[in-house]
Amino acid sequence: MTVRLFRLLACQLLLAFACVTAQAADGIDITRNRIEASDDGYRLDAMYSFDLTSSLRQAVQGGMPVYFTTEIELTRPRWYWTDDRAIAARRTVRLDYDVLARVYHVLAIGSVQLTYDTLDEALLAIRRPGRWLIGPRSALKPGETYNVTLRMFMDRDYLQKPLQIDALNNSDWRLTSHKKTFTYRAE
Amino acid sequence: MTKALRYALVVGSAIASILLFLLASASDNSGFLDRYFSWLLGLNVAVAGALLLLVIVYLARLYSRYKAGRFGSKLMARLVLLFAGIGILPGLVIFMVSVQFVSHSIESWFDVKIEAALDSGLKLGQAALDEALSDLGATAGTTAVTLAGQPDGSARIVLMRTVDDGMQSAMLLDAGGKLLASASEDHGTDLSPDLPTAQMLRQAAMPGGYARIEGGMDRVVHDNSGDNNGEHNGLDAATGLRLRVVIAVPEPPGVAPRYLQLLQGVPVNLASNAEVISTAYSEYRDRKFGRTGLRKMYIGTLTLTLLLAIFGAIGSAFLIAGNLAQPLLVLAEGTRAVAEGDLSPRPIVETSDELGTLTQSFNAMTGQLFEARSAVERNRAALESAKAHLESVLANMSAGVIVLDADGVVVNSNDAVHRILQVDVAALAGQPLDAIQGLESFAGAVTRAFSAQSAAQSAQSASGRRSQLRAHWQQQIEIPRRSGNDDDHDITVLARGSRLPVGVGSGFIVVFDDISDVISAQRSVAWGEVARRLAHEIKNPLTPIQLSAERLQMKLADSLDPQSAALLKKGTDTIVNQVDAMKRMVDDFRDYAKAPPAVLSPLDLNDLIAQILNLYLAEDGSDVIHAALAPGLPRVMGDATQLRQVIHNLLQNAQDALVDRPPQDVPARIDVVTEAIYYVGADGATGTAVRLAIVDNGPGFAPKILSRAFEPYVTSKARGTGLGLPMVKKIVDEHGGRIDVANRSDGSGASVSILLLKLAPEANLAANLASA
Repeated sequence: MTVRLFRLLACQLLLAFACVTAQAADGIDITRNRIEASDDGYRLDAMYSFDLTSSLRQAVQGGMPVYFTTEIELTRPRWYWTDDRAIAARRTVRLDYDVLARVYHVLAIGSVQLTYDTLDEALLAIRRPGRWLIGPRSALKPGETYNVTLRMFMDRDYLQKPLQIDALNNSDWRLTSHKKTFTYRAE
Repeated sequence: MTKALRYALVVGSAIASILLFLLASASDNSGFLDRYFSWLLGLNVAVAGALLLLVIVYLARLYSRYKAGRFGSKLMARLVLLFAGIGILPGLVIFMVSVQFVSHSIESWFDVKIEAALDSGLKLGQAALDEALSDLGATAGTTAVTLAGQPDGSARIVLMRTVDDGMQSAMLLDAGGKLLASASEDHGTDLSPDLPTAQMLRQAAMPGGYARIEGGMDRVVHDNSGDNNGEHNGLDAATGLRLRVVIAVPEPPGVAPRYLQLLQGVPVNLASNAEVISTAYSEYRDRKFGRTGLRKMYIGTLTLTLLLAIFGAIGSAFLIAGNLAQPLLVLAEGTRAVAEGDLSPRPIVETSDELGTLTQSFNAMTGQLFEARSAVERNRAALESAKAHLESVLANMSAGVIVLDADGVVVNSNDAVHRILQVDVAALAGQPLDAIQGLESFAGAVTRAFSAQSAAQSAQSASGRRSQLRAHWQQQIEIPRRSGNDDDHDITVLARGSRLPVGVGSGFIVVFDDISDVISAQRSVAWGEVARRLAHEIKNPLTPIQLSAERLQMKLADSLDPQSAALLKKGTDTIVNQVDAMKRMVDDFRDYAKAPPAVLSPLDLNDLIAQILNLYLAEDGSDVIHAALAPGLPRVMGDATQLRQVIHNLLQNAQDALVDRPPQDVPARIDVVTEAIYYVGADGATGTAVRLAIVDNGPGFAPKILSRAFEPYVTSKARGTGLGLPMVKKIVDEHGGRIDVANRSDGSGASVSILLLKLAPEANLAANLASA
């Protein structure tokens, strides 16, 4: 009897998990993903395509800052050991609206703040970010092939706590991309 | 309930409490655990799930036990329901009230009026700033018109004049953004950070120019800390709030374009108020967006709290119920064990309350029960062994014992009865003794004897005398053999009977011994005595008879005619011969009665036999006597002369038995066998004996002869005194041996075996060594 109960519970859990993973990708498509080698290191050249949900748009226009985080990871598979994590980088971009001055600010953390008059201009800056230095040249071995995992999402960790709760089962507060995986042969 | 589950429950409750506290602390409007709030929530949910699982496991086990009717599960279930109910019901009530409260109170915070007021305030602020900006734009327009056409050198004066009107700074720039002239509020400050960007210049070239409010809220993102609460402080930000206007100077055609930039700080009270309003507006909007989440958060936290409380209550209910029920279960287990006969002490519950006392007294009770039962067991075992001992004594007694009830029905009898009477009386128990076939005369004698005794007792009690008469009777009873079996001789038993006063009513016990052998021995002793006297009485007149006859012949032979003389001679010869024969016979009797005592000395029996057999053997292959003498036979103590006579007698008997054989039969054969016999004596020590057997294949002993073979004058031969075997027996008895005569088991021939138990001392020693 107990066993049957456990089986039922396990089924329910699996179902719930499947739903969550199915919902995991919402709204953001990665339209371009490329890694370029430059003199000072490797840079990510990526473009995203998304639009804010109506709730997010209202929230931004009400003065609430919204954060977008890009995560990239370069791993080299090793048959004899766990994968070698050559580069794991993360960049967060803040979008907020100055209700007084009626301008939009886009601030990539550690960089200068850009100001835009309209939301679309500001979003364009987020969709097409500049080339982001993800790691020094010494991080990768030339000639080796790396698996690259790229993900871009609206970072809910920066939302206020009630919204974090709300976001658990409200897709208005969810903006995520799939994990984009591609290989890169280091130069 | 196992220990592991118990610990899991306790630890789970502790973790749940800590997590719940953290969750409640983090639920307020502070930066505490801001970034990890969802993790905390997830952990709480996970712990609640684990506890739920645990409780389900408990309940399932309880249910299955309840279903299976396991002892104690009903009590347990009732206790669990009770405690869980006490824990859950108040929690449920509080939860309902709280949820109601939260869902309605939070909604009420978001007032449309407040929102509208904040909106208006914001718009006011924006309008004020816009007003200031347009003022600045107008100033810039007039200044630009003034500057138009003026060289760079004189432009500075115009700019300084403009700055004096309350500007922070005024700059004149060329199209490339290069500074041509400038003036500022406080001279000497570096103006390069305030230079317009290329984008601004581009916009300035458009009609209307570039006019923007700058600075203000400069919210800095802190990656690691969620504490950005204080950065919305309007007063701090107000210092940086300023207005910037960049317009193109309306130059006459053909002159390189120039741009004028004016920077003006917003008045502090306007800036700070506008900031306060905008901050409040933002926060209000935040709350408004977050209100669903806030409600979810509170309800979720409350639900989690309720769940944890319920699980905790049920878990604690299990613990408490288990603790309460356990001593009772121990006791119940104990009573069941006692019912099954297990009286071992139960584990004592170490509490000082009534339950502890109960188990202690229960243990004391089982202890006493155990003592009593073991005492009974011991008594029973002792009784049984005594009974078994008595029974074995009775069974192994040589005397026959028959127990009769008052009606003469056989109640019990021992094995010896069967042996002596040749009737299995034990198997016929329950029948009257006189109804048993073959025992009619015995039964009659017994009945008469008991009647006579009771008559004597009655007579005695009537006459008032008490002392002499014994309580039992004793009588010799002859039991005739069953008809049709005339080979058997009668059995003579000596029977004693007594009344049994025990049990219900009275009974009789008859004890009897087979005294046929005793009678036989008495007979042979009597015969010996008779023979000795007769020999003495007969022998005395024989010599005078013989002498007289001889004298008659001697005196009368010459004085008679030859015819008469011949007659006389014949008569006297007959007399002398018969007297001689009679003398010999008398001598035999005397010898038998007065055999000289045996003189025992070490003797090799095999040697003796070999010497004797020399006389019988022709060594030509036609011998009927075959000797099988065991080599290394121990020497015996014996009288060689007497033993020789024994062997002669036996061989003679065997040869006599083989004379009347039908000729077509198997060849006659006599076996003479000696061997050493090892036996265990009555004292437990091993002993050695020498056995001599003489076996023939003649007709064997007649049954009538067999039982009385050692009595004198019992013979089957036409000629014979019947003293041969009695003589042998006498000699063997004097040697301390045993003699047995028997017919061979296959029915053809007789076997006589002599067991000599007295061995020469050194032979005994050697034999003991050999057997050791």
